Amino acid sequence: MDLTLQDTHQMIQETAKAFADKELLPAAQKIDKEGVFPSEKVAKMAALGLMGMAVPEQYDGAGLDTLAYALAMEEISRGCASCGVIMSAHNSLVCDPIKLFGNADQRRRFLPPLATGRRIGCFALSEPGSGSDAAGMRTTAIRDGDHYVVNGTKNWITNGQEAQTCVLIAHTNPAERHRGISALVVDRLESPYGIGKVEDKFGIKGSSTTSLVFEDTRVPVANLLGQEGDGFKVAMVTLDGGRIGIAAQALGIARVAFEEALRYSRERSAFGKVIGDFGAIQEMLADMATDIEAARLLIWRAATAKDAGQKYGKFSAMAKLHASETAARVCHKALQIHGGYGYVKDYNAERHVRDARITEIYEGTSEIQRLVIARETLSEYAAMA
Amino acid sequence: MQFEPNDADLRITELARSAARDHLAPRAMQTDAGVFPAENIGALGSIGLLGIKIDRHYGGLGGSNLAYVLAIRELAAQCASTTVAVAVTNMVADMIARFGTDDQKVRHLRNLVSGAYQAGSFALSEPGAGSDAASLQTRAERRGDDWVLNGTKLWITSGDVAGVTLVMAKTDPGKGGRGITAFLVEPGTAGFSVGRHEEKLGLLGSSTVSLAFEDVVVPDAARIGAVGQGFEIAMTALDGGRCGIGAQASGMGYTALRETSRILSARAGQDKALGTDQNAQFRLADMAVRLDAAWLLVQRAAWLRDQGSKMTKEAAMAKVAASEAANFACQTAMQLAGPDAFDAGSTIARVWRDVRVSRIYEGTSEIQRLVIARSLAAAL
Repeated sequence: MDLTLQDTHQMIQETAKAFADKELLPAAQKIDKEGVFPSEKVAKMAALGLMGMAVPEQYDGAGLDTLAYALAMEEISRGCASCGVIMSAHNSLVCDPIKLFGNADQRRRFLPPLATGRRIGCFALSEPGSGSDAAGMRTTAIRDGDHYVVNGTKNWITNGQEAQTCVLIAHTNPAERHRGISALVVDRLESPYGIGKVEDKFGIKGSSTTSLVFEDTRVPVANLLGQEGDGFKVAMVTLDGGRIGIAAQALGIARVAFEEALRYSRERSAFGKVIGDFGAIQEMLADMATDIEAARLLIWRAATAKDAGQKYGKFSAMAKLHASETAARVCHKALQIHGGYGYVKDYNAERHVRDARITEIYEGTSEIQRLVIARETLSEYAAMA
Repeated sequence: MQFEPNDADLRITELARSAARDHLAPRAMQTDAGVFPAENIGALGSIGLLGIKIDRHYGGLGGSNLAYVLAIRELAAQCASTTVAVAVTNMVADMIARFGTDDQKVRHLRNLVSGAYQAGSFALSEPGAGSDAASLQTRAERRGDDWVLNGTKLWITSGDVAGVTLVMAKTDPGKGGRGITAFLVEPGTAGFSVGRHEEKLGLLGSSTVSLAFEDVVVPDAARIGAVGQGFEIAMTALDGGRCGIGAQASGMGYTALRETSRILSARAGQDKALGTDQNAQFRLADMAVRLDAAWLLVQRAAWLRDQGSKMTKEAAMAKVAASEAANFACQTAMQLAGPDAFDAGSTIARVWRDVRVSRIYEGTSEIQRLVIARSLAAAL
């Protein structure tokens, strides 16, 4: 065991933290209040290499590993959760599948604009009637000569409004369930589709969440990722990796809520002493810190396993489940420690509660993570017996 | 970054795993009937597991703190009663190695590590001083070249069978923590006696006794560390000890997880509806996640200690997280397994009883949280 961060990792962590301290923390409240996509911040993140972290350098990316990504994601989300989810969807759900499943031509065409931030990416899997049960989707992409003709509606699409590059999962052979699903890269300029409802959300208000409407949208066959029928695998592999990003996002949110609550507990007095010296508050703070540090270890373990090419599905599910539930609990307690001030917008505690909540839902709900973990655990022990 | 233990740590883990399987597991029920596991101690002593971190020169394994927690987890997975005695022996040996004089090392280390002493014991708690260790009342007064000890110690693991007991006593009552000094007391010393044997909920094979000191005279050569250094020694012991309790609790927790998995899989064979019940699966997942999260904290704390880093906060986090995760796991296992587990002879029933004290001894959960909170405030 060696938990020391290598120089590269330490540098990424410090760079992202310095950026978050200077650019994001002071702006996060305004981004939340206005609910507008923080284009200027995203451009600066791209200039630092944060929008193509795992994209190879030959495609203008930073060429870094998953651990570096997790470290940066924690710091960025600590500064601004909306920026965190924009970065997460773009990196994990768009750059990664194109890098992993795309051919040389697709990588050359799609990755550089994404990695440099000239284009924003989105990932279209969920539908009005299918979320966790991805195979139940209804969107179709039917072959017609050199094109697929796409019809259907996708829901809950992060970056939907701004994205010009969309990784779309659709049925190319509706007669089959999993095996009839394929992944396509849709260039919105070349293959226009409609933006439907723009969701009015509880938290992460600076990122857009929309539905995408495909009506006879023609996508070149050259944009098919892998083979026809690979789509379900593309989606599942993408989500396994994405979970590490969301876990790190949740961790960043938990950390900022905790840091603010700790500071507040040393400043606010009641009954003649600072409230941080009361046992009830101390217990909350101790549990918050312990959960946060455990979540970080689970995330690092998943990232390290992924980087080493090991099986990491259970590890990423554990990291995502634990970090997201930690974030929800920590933000809840942080608000409580602030008392009435936690409930109003002068402080940030209420925003953190709102921002944290979604991490238990998207990229696989807590319930889906538990199913993954239980299945893996049962099969591991069965194999040992 | 690397989460896997290195080869040296893995060798010790494997040694502990096979010893636990070959010696501890077959006798776990007999030990649970209240029999001190002398044979287990002998077997572990013969292969160095009573001095995991102690230099090979004294018969130990020269292992790291990480190897220590890995080994303790393996032992506790099969028999917690044996493990608690083993852990305290290791701790006492470790303190003698760290703070003892050459003479003290020669006198005690081989005996502790080989199992010639059945155990070492650590006497800190008193009837009126548990978590608040600095307020202890046992006195040690200087008389010429000797010290005279008076007082009572409580909840002493292996106190009746130990070949040496590390005793904390006040040498300067006006000074609080800084007025405490540590002594090595051997059985048979006049005035030193074993009092009441506690009847416990679990860990039935390990003995827990009170110790009485009535004008016990020990030479200055029995003092370990400087006068006034006792509190530091105790806290150093507890930082390591808390990692050990975390590992012990983890061992029991994973046993509960393993047993529950086995039972659910068997049920799935007979009756799919019960075995694959989503509610049961979700709780199994919660057990697995909490155990892994805590176990990572335990390993991190041990690893930090190996780096020579200050790790009081991290040890407290490891201890509170692992003991509570393991209690949760054992409790949930009992619930999911149902009537089979309620049988007094079941493994789940045993770990359920054995694991409870891990939230109490070597610093209650409440004390761990206080330690953590104070460290957090101090770091601001």
